[in-house]
Order: sequence, then C-alpha cells, then structure tokens
Amino acid sequence: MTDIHRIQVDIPSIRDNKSGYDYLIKLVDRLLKNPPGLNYEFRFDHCTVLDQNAIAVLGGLGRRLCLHTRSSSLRRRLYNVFFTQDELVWFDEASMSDTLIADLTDIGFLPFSRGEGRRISGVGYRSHLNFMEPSDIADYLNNDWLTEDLIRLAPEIREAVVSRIIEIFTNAYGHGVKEDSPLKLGITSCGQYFQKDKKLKLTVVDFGGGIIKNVKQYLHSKVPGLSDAAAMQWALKPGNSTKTDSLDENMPRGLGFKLLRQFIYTNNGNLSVYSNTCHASVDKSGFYKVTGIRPSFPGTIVTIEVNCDDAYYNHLRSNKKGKYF
Amino acid sequence: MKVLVADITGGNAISMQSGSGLYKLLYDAMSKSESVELDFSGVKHFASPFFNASIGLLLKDFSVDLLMEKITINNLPEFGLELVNEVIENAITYYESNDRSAKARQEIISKNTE
Repeated sequence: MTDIHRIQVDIPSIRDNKSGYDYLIKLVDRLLKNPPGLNYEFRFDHCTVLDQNAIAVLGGLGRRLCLHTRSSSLRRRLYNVFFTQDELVWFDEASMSDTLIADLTDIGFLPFSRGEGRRISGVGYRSHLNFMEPSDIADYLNNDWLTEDLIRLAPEIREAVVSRIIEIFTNAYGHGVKEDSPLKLGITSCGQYFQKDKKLKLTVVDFGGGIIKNVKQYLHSKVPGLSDAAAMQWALKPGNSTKTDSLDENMPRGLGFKLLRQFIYTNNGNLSVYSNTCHASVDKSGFYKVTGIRPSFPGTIVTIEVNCDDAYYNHLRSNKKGKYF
Repeated sequence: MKVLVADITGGNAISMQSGSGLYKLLYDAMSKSESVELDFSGVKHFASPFFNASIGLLLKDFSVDLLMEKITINNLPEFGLELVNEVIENAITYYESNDRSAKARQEIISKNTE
C-alpha cells in the first residue's frame, strides 16, 4: 500500500564538484519547502558513489527533515536516535549496491543512519549532536579523526593541521550558537582521506541560517540594503565578525576565514564555502572569489582539500621571527 | 613572572574562555609594569579565539611596543607564532578603526552642540 505521506527521493551519484553542490543545494531547497509531517525514503538505485560533501549534506538534511516534524515528543526522541525504518527519514539500504553499502559503512554513515551509534575510528562521517567545547573538538580531531595510523605527518605538522581545522568547527558552532543548539543547527561533517595522493577532504555543514543572513541581521541598522555578495565579502574580510560568542563585545575577532585561506594557499589545497546565495572559493592568487548561487542554502557548507605531506609545510620549520614575536 | 600556559589551557589553547584566563594574568602584570614569560610547553593546538581573548584584547589598553617589551614567548611552535602575529596585526587594525570611529562620533557631537 502506498503511503501518501511518504516522499521518495532518488539520489544519484554525487561528487565533490560544482554539479554535485548544485544538486545538493537544490535538493535541500526542495525538501525543506515541503510541509511538515511527511516521511522521506531516500533511494540509491542509481547511485554508485557519494563523495564526502554529499554524505555530510544528506546527513544534515535528514536531521533537519526530522526536526521538521509536527510532534514535539517525537522530536525529542529523535534527538537521540533517528533514521530508522520506522521513523521519518529512511535511507534505504536495499536500494544500494554492495559497493555503496561497503563505502558508506566504512565511512560511518550507515552505522549512524541505522541508529547503531557505533563510532568509527579515523576520518569519516560524524553528526555533532551536542555542543562540543573547543578543547573537546581538538582532542576529537587529534585522537579520533586524524589518527596517526591513517595520516602520517610529523607531529608539529599534524598539530598545525588540526589547529586550522578547529577554526572551521568553531566557525560552524558560531554560526548561530547564541540562538540555537548544535542539534538544531544540524552540524554534520564528513572527511575522506586519499592515501595514494595524501589528500584529506573535509566537509562541515551547518543549518544555522547562513553567513549572509547572519551578516545582514548584524549590519541591519548600519548598512541597510546590503547586497548578498557584499555581505559575503564582508564576512570574509579579516577582522569582521558577527560576534556570535558571548564574550567582551569590544574585542578583535574575525580571523577564521583569513587563516583558512592562508592555510589552503600555502599547502596548495582548495577551500569552498557555500552559504545562502553565495559561493566563495580561494583563487590561484590566494584570494577569495565570490559568485552567486541559486537557490539559497539555509546554512553553510565548508569544504577543504588539504595536502597531508610534510613537504608542504616547510615554512613551519623556518624559525623565522614574525613582525612582533 | 613565568606563566606556564598549559596550566590554564591544558593541551589546547583554543577557546575564548581560556584566553580570558590568560588575559587577566597578563593585564594585572602589565598594569604593574611587570615582565611576563609565557611558556607554551605542553600546548599542542592553537586557535584564533584563544589569542583574540588574551593577547589581542590587551591591545585595547596597552601599546604593541609595550607588549613586545614586557612579554616573552617561549616554546610556541612556528604555526602558533604565526597566529600570534596575525592576531596582533588584526587587533591593532581593530582598535585603530574603533578609535577613528570614536573620534568621528565625538566630532559630530561637538559640531552639533556648538
């Protein structure tokens, strides 16, 4: 019997490229426009591969759709476990190829979607349900995620890489942490490590409203009528911050995106930020380039590609004195 | 005075909260014109919120020259030093810009009250 409240969503192969992001952003827009109270069955009959950006977005979308439900008691229950067959969002393993099941199991997405709560070791999918203290994020990245067994880097280089990745997570938690819990923000992350190329790809997704929305709210009285592109440029400019933390207002902030840009530029990697109606990436000269996207994404997707080879980090061994210290 | 930063932060100098802890120590010392040696032994990870809330915030009340004169930094790895220098540069720009805004506001108020 067909359930009129069950929406079937056919997921194709989704890669970490422009068409992959275009598809994901359109999918999020389409499904979040649906009325609440629907069930979703994600099918994978025509999907052979999902890159880390797709897994992170689908995980966050699934959580967001569950929070879209009408029942507050069910919503509370979903805080702990969801994505099972009887619940609102179902990732149908029967529609997946054996290879895809193996890939999504290895990366930790299927154990999570089955509600097994099993933690995988190493780079993979995570749904960040609870607020993590910054120090816990660092320990988690260092001990559980970028494990020494998997990614072989000199200790001081590993510490530098972890430190820069922490900036991404603290940004994600800051994109609305004043108003929303991380659960509601729907922070998910997924990483893949490519041993042969020594490349790490990481996508962090939040549904915290988006950078442009937050900047416009923050600057509303000072700069009415700010365009979306100008709001994005403002957020990327060093020193600018919407001050989503709770400490002294009169304190310098807003270095996260500059540090990421420099980090990516020096190790010849890639950085991509999708938020609301804009996409920002680091160009060959090491500067941000902002372009428009449609439809709007109601949060932020940050993806980095990092070269994990000590050779890219010789500048960290120069012992050169900086301008001040 | 020697400060073992790990006593405040543990192995991760990341959060604004732990930065605030260091800021109070540094502010007190610099207010008394004491010199401070910051020893980062045992600290592995660093992020901008920590330095913004500690060294960056000091620049609201003290000049960068005084900071360089009174504070010595030891055992901070190269990427941590890069970060400290970025934070200082950002803080200088931030407070200069605030000063300019305050002066501009004051000029407007003065003109309006003439």
